[in-house]
Amino acid sequence: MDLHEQHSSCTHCGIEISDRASAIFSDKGEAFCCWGCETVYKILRKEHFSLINKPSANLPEYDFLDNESFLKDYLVSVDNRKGMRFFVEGIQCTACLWIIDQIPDWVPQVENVHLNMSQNTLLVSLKEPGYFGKVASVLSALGYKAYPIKGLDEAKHFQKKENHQQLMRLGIAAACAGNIMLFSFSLYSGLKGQMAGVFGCLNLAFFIPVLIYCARPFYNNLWRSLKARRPSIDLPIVAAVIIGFVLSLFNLIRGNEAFYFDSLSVLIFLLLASRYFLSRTQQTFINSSYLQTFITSQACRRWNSGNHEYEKVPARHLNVDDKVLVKEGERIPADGVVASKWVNINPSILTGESLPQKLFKGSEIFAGTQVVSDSVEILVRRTTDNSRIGQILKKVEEQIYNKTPLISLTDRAAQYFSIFVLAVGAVFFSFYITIDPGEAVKRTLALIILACPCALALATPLAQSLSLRKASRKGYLIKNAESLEKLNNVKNAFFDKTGTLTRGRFEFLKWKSPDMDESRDFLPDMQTLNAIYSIEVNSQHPIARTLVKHLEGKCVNKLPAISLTELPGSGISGIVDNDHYEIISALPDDKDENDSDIISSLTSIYRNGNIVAHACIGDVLHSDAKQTVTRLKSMGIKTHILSGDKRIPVSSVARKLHLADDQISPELFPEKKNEVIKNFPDSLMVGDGANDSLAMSSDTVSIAVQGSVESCLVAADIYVTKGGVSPVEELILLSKNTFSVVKRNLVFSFIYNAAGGLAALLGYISPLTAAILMPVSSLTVLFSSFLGTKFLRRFNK
Amino acid sequence: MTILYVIIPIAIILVSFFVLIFLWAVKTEQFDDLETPAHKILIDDWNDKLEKAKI
Repeated sequence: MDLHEQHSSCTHCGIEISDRASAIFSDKGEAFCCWGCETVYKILRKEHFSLINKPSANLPEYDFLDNESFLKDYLVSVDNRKGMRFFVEGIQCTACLWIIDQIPDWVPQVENVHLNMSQNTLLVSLKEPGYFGKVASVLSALGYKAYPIKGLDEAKHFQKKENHQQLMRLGIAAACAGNIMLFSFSLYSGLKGQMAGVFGCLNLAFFIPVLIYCARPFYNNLWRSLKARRPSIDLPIVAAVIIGFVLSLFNLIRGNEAFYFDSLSVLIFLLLASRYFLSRTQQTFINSSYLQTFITSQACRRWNSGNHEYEKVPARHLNVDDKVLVKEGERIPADGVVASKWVNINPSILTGESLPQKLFKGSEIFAGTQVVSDSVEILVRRTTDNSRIGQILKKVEEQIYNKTPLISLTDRAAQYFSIFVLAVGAVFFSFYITIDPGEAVKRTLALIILACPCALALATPLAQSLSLRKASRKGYLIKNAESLEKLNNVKNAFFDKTGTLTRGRFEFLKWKSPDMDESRDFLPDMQTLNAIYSIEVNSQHPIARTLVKHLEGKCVNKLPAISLTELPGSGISGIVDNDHYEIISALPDDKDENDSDIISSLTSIYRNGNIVAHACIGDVLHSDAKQTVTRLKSMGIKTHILSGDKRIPVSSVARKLHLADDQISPELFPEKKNEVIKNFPDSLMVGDGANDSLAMSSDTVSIAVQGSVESCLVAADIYVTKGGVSPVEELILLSKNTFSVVKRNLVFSFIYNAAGGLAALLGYISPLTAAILMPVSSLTVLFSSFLGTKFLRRFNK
Repeated sequence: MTILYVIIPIAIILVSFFVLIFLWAVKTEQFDDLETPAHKILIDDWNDKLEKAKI
């Protein structure tokens, strides 16, 4: 009891325990205020315990993180400690932050972790080197997926500084504009004479930082587009600022009270603010520095003929003719030939094919493919960088770099509009100056200030950034606003099959009787099930694993199986209870029109030479695939399937989705996918694998769905952290709605400018009134954008 | 109206004071992550109480 007396507050929630009789004590003497706290505390502690001892908390696939050559590019220094930055997928709420904050307790070698929830990045610093892999595997055991990000290089440092500068410009513009407005208030309410001059000088003093420092990005942009001989949206803005400033200065010296400092500074502040928010919402943290990490940074075992053992070397140090040992579950580091007797590999990274391939001695094996069963020795023929996957990744990188930026609709409209306004102003001025010079200056200035397309420039980024923000809340990361605009015009949607339309993994579907009779359900007898289980449990083949997983929990018994032999093709044989069994997988024939599932493998079970059962194993369509394809069709978007897989499974998927034969392209190499898409303008590519990334990096808009390999993440414009394909439809809807708001703004702004401009030219509007009217028009457009985002509420449901 | 000669300098001093504070906040990266600290405030509480409970 003495032990218990020490505790006066709940161990879990910390609430003071006033009534000791009602307190709950655990075996270790920890006090709790209620059972809820005791239970949660227990679960948390237990989870902590099992987590660290879980085998998945020590994954070899993350070993490369502590590789010497990998660290060279990825280390960052945090308070003189070694650190690394990760992009973490799956961060949701405070609980995620709490769990991740516990990592230093669980991995004692970790000094500190810092999670940035707005960017989903995690900065990890270590007390001693060599534990980044451990941190990544703990994260994956918790259910998060971590990708390393290259250390802050020159470009990123510059970007960070640029962001700070933007924010400082915005802050100073806000402070100055606010004060100028206050000082102008007295002028508007009729202050005259010497005091008016004093306030004018104050306005001038506050306007100078705006003119020189805050407005600098506009000058730079204008200068750049002038050099490139492009019209610029910044032209009328700069023209208005300079002319307005000169005129106000002129009036100040003359003792006249017509100043435009207030409206000009507010204009600059609003423009800076809208641009800042847009750039802030764009997700730019996934960049090309990710590329290649997943194969080149892996360590592999090279045979050293000098001391007759395998030594670990980074994959990129491999040379032609090296002998390399690759163990089960690892990826082949370089192109080569198989030196062992045989090996089962998963080629999906290159082909997207769902079935494993069996390769025999002497056959060609490609880098990036994964060894499914038994380790294999290979002779390197092409180094990692020259391998097929290496070449593809190199091409992806080049294409991302060369991607032509889209000049957005509103920018284009605003550009032509501003040129038109300046031209009209110039013509009017040169014509009217002969009649009344003073009036000519006034009216032209009123026109330029009023017709400045800043409402346009402001409302578009605002509508876009509201949409981007909404999308990112739902787990759709849109890397730039342009892709949102491109989505609006999509006419053709290309889907990858494996892993995008389907779940991308084998699942047991059903049993079929020996005569393949569909009319009745069939279940093999217990003897057969036991035999299948006992034999297949010894095999690493994915089909065998699927069967075993299905049979476990079906009350099957493991019996001794003898003389197990791997059969050529895909199969295994063995003797159980004196019966000889053969289990052979084959591609199904394509006669089954009515099947509701996609059978990618028909496994036949023979007992003593007689067939006793068939097992259908296949990849299941995502539940939302059919609905999404139908909805896309109703939006006038044609769906296509691009796949590296064989024709039979691809056409069976197409049938299920009611797609015609000309809408599928099976047996495509990654290089070919790109060429198919190039023939279709306004297309959308949805994929999940390295074999899609080349197609994604072309000039189409691209979406990567969950489970994507890094190269895909980098190449795609939009990344969806949710499974299934329904986000594709939602994103297109979001884009269409966003641009209907933008179009409405365009129409409003055009009408307003035309009417206002005409009135200004006829002399009904003075520059001062124009300066007041202009922010009003901007506010109207802002209001319209916010109203227009009502649809976002619909999007939320 | 002479009060203006006092009020205006005060206004200017106040403005420059706030601008300087803002610039300092930007430079010390306080605006780089606007989300996490808002969540963190909830967690620190729990850890403090855990410490207290240990004592």
